[in-house]
Amino acid sequence: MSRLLRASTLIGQPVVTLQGESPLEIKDVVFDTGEGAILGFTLRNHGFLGGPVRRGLAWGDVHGLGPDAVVITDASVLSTDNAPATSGGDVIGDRVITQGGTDLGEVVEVVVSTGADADVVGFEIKPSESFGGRGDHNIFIPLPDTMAISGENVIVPDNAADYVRDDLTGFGGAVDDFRAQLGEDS
Amino acid sequence: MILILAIVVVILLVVAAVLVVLQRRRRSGGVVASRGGGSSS
Repeated sequence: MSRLLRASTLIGQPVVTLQGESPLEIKDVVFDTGEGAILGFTLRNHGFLGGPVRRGLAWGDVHGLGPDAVVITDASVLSTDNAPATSGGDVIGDRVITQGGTDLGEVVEVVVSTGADADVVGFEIKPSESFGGRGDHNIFIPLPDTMAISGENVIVPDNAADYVRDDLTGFGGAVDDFRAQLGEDS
Repeated sequence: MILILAIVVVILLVVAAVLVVLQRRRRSGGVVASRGGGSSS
């Protein structure tokens, strides 16, 4: 059973071991630009004075992911070897542009589907004026299995705009329909 | 004397504000893309 969540809700969550210790907390959520899979997390120390650490947490070592904490078996899984590479930069603020050249808007949030695996399945965007943007009303746009992210722009198929939703309710279905449509077209 | 103390206080406040901003920026998180996937090791 998968569920959708906003990636930023994971930032700042404590990493808790099954023994109840909380050595670190989540700093960045890292995903693969090719397939959208969540690779893991970079970490930081607790508290305002706590800075980032070199140790990381791979998605495969996550024991449980809840609304208030990321649970791991024990602190030994937090290592520099597990730190995911962060070569592409933060996608928040990137522009979403269709293959036909229409600017759909600006990424304000990343939607993640979590279950046994975790994948980026869509973006919450602040729509551009040319895409009907009005005020602070954001919309959700699905992403294909394989995405193209340059560091400043995200390129999506033209028909992604047909599967836009106003909220997360029913967005999972829109993602499935969109990807099924892409499968039929290819 | 009071003027010197006031200047010192202002300088300290500016330095503290800069340190707070730098630390907030250092701690801020994001949703980061990783080209090519895998870990850094």
